[in-house]
Amino acid sequence: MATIQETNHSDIIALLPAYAINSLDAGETEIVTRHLPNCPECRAELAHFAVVVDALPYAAPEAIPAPDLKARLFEQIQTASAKETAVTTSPLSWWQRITAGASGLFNPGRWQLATVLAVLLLLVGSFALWQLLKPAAPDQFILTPTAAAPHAQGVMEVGSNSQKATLTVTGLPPLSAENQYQLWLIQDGVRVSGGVFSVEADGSQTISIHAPQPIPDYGAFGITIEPAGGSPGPTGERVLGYNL
Amino acid sequence: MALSQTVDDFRWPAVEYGRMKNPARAFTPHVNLKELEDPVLMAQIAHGQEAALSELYDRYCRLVMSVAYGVTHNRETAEEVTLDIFTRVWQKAGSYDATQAQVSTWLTRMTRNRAIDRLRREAVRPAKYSISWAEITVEPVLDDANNPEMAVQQQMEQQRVRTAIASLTDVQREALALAYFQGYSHSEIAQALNEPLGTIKGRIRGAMLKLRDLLV
Repeated sequence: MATIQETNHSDIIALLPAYAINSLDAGETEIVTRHLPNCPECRAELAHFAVVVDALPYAAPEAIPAPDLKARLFEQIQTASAKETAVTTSPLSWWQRITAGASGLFNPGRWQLATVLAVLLLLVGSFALWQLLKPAAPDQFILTPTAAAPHAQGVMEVGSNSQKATLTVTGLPPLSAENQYQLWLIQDGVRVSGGVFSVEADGSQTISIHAPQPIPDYGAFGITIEPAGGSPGPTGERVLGYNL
Repeated sequence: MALSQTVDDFRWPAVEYGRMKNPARAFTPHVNLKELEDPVLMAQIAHGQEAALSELYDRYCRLVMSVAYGVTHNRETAEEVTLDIFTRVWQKAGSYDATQAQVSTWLTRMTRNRAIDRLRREAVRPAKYSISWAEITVEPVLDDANNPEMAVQQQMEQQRVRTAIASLTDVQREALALAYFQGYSHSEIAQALNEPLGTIKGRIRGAMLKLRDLLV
């Protein structure tokens, strides 16, 4: 496989049309991807071919969706929304079951209040002890680059609300119009999307992250190259990563 | 597990209020969604406005379905992809960046990628497959009383692109279709058509150069 140094500029320009439509073989794709951050001429040329690719959908034979597809879409969305609501409200029912069960063990009246207070004190005390004993969560994570983006850097800074953070990246190669970078929050092998982003011409970007749980609770983070708009799970090459 | 990423934190600066026809009416209760530009509609969707998603669906469901069907050539699969795309719009509207691409482009890119991924997962890509690009015909204006302006715009774009595709040679169209609608690489196209790799590279490049001159 030819390296960037062995591939002259005119050869790379000749690859741009196929790169725009994503039909280059893997080796040639890598050569062009690595070349683009340092070549404004090629990026400008690529932008022209991206316009062509983005126009091709209008040449597809027209297909009309079934009349009930829209209704199915909103049914699907509302079902998913109802499931999320059920999950977020369940912890309250657990507490309610504890107090209801505790109060049911004794006769109502003066024993009910005493039982509730005793359970409450026990829980508060346990939580305070756990807070004292657990190690302090770091507020900054440095992501290390892979061979796919050796000059990239990434820093994730956790805010006072530990479910919020700011990710700053530099040195990432700008991608073609077909792709974007995607952040993954990883816990126990499960990868949750932290956001999809593109970088500026100089390879930098800053994004805000809102996680469903405290960010230090995740064991690892990664940034991969994905199709524009993101993917349900990582499919592309990893460019930055952090492991606890 | 859904992850919230509000437009305010991440993509709000990309929404250009100046592109609205009537900015003062952006977030009043009786705003006419049909008057909103696509990026503003996306911002509404990011804030959980189902009516905005409904409007976006009306504008682009045919385009998305056409791309999905052009890739999969299976109506049921194409509808599933279409559902998936608009569900992702609902979930990911906050990540849309108006400075990177138009909404229609964002949608069709996702659709093409999703449909090709579907083909690859199901391993149903035939070794030889030729798609017939839409023929150039004088179509009547799409019967969309809800948004006739949008229908006319899309029809005009269809005519423009289809005319350009018609100017390609048969072999250029064939190679381009395999690259775009099937996601084939040069090598895969060469193998599928039993042609030399260099020949396929030349056809793709020639097609793209000709289309660039006509469409850009």
